[in-house]
Amino acid sequence: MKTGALQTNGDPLAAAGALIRGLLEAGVVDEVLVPAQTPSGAVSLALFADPARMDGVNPWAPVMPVQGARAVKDLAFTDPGRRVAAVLRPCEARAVVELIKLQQVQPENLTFVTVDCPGTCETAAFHASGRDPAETAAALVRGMKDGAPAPEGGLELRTACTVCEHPAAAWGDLRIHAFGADADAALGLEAEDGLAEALAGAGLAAFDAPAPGGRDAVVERVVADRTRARDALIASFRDEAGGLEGLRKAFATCIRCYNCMENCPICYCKLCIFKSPTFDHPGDLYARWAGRKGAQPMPAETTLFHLTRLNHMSTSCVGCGLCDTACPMGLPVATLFRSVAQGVQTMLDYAPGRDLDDPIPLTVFREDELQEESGARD
Amino acid sequence: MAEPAKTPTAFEPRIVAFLCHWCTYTGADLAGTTRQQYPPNVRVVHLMCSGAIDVVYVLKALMDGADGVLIGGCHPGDCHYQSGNFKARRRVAILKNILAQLGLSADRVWLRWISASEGRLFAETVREVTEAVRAMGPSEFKTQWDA
Repeated sequence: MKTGALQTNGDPLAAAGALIRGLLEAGVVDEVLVPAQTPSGAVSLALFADPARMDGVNPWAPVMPVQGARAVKDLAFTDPGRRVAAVLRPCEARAVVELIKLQQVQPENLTFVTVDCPGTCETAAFHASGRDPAETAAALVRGMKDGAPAPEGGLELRTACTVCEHPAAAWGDLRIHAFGADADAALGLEAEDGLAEALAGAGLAAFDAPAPGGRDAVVERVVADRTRARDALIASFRDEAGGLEGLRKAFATCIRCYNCMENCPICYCKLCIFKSPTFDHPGDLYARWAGRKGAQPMPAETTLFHLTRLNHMSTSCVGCGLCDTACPMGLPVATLFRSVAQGVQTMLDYAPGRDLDDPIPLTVFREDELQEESGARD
Repeated sequence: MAEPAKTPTAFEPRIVAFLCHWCTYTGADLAGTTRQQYPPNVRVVHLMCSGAIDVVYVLKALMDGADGVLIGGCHPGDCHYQSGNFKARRRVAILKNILAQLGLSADRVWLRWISASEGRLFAETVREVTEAVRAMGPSEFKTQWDA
């Protein structure tokens, strides 16, 4: 990896946009997947082939309506056949790492660009505020010099972002660093050697000068603050949602729309078992359940759905919180998953998205492990 | 042997057992053919391998009337599909971890390695599970109808 700097001349968004557009113009890649403001004014991920369409590119768009890893999976479930750069936030990149390991993304033609992330607002709240995505993003990026800024205009970050302890770009072929940087002067860059040469050769960035300093200390402070916030959130959730009664209360208004699962980057099954005929029961079965218990909630098996999804995907949960954003009832889905995933991932000593070489926990085993945790006696 | 008379409200645990074809199911068969006595509280689901278990079925059993679930597989190293029991062990460890974190009864899920020659061990295990679950009382999923 080589470190370098991206001169911003007072406009960090334009400078990052020019760098990303430059990947196309210089022929480093054929297409770019990146968040952008569309002509209609919405913020959306888009796959650009024509640099002339890239005016609204905004890698720090203050909303994340769709998890970028889902878009990468749509694009590269089979090899796209062209070289594509995907611009991702750290949680999106970590989900992509999981999807590559789960064989849902063919990475051969992909170049990953990651950015230090200030967090995002809930999509609906942000759009209702009428604020300009570019202005809000620029203010956030400038604020990252000293830590994790709050969005302007009384907007709040999504809960998942306020407890995100992975805000720094730590993976990817090209990483754009904003923490600790004076964004009006220069942003930090880190790139694979070959890519750094290509970028320097095309005059897009300089890799001969040292990166702006001070980032490590700022990242460390943000991570420490977020980790404290995460532990506090998990502790209070456990107090409230402990036991079956607490869990039922916390999820009492679930309408079983499956939006949490549909928007989860890790839930990759083409057909979830809960949407399959496995749980389409004959009518007399519901009638018998009601007869036996005296009453039967309809639809049935709501708690079973959440518990099963926890079992199936919490090993790889990256804590992006898109399940929260997707829930029409405002249930604390992400908090439940963060809380449970932390325990499971600690037990298995697994950090999703950390390394392509860490095997997915459910695909491997050691002969002498988990005796106590599984209760198996030999 | 005459069982003591039960009042209508006496709790009789219901155990669902997922047993692998090559070891524990055959061990259960041996328990029968060698006339081992064990409580009639267990309902067996026959699988080819403990590694074929998906926790959704364990949870479904627990939420749908079972007071305990027993998963039986080959001893480590003896799996007829090489590693199915090791994979089952990871899934069960994750399941019990999640249930415990949520304050649900992780101790209603039992994983045991019982070989085809261990009919006596199968009978003992069913006795152990039945009595332990009897002491726990009915599953919370039974007592709360809207779970």
